Amino acid sequence: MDHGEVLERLDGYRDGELDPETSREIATHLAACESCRATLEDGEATARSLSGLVRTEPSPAFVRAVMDRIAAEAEPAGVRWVTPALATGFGAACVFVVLGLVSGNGETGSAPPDLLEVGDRDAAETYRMVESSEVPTHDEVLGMLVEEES
Amino acid sequence: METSGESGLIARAREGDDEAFAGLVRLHEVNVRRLATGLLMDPAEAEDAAQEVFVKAWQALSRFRGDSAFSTWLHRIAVNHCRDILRSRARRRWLSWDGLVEALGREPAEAGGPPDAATRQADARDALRGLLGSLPADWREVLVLREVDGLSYSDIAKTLETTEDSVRAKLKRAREAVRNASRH
Repeated sequence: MDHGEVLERLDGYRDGELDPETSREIATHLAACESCRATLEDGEATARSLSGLVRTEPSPAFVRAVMDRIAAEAEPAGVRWVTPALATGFGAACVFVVLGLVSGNGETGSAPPDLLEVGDRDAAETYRMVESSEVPTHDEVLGMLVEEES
Repeated sequence: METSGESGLIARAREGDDEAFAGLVRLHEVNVRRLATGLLMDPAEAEDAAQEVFVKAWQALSRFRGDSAFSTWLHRIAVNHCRDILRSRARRRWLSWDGLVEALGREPAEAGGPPDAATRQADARDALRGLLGSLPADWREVLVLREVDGLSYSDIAKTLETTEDSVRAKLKRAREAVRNASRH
């Protein structure tokens, strides 16, 4: 291999991309040729400089930033404010329902007047039991239905 | 090349395990950030771009078939994303690295004597950075993937979806450009 052919293949040699036989020939030439060795070292120095321009260290903060970004992208932009708003609204609605159930006439155990007025004794009884935390059992409910049918 | 540990992380991440994906980010973040810095030559923009690369990888994970190494797939996403940024930069007519190189070339020498070693070193780095930034984008891609990320010609070709001959040719031209500019 002549001098020109070695120079032509020097980058491939430095990159480890040549076949073993060609690499051996070039290595033999380099051992005897100071000029080609200098060219090889120039190439290696430039590569080190380029690599040094973008020296980067591991960064746990970078990993956290990526995962935060993924979490933020997981919810559509509209849902991100709607979900807490809905949760707040639902919670408020539940409070109002509970307050409405216990307000009545201020006396525990008394049904709303309209139910008693229409003679809906069973509904009134059920209302009283619910309000006093006496949840009707299955038999009690069936009993009410049977009594109604008869 | 993927390790069995990495394969496990990929499998779990594909099932939606974000802790597993965080493990993949930890394995590859240095390479991706270094590549983005080399292509964009702006550290802040490169950090943001690198984060976005991993977000895109998470979103596209179901499409990773394992035909190439995970690192090659990530590199491909990174190169494409950085190309988009560079095109967008050109469209916005931001100060280009060519302009920056010109600006560096017009900087007057400081008064008060010859620069010390640290200043000369900083000047050399600035000059090399400007030179790298002034290369055509496709030459810069192969040069950064080879000299900074240490990829083989085969892996560079897979990343850029081109041939090894094209990689060799562009690498040769890029290195010649750097050598010629360094002599002046």
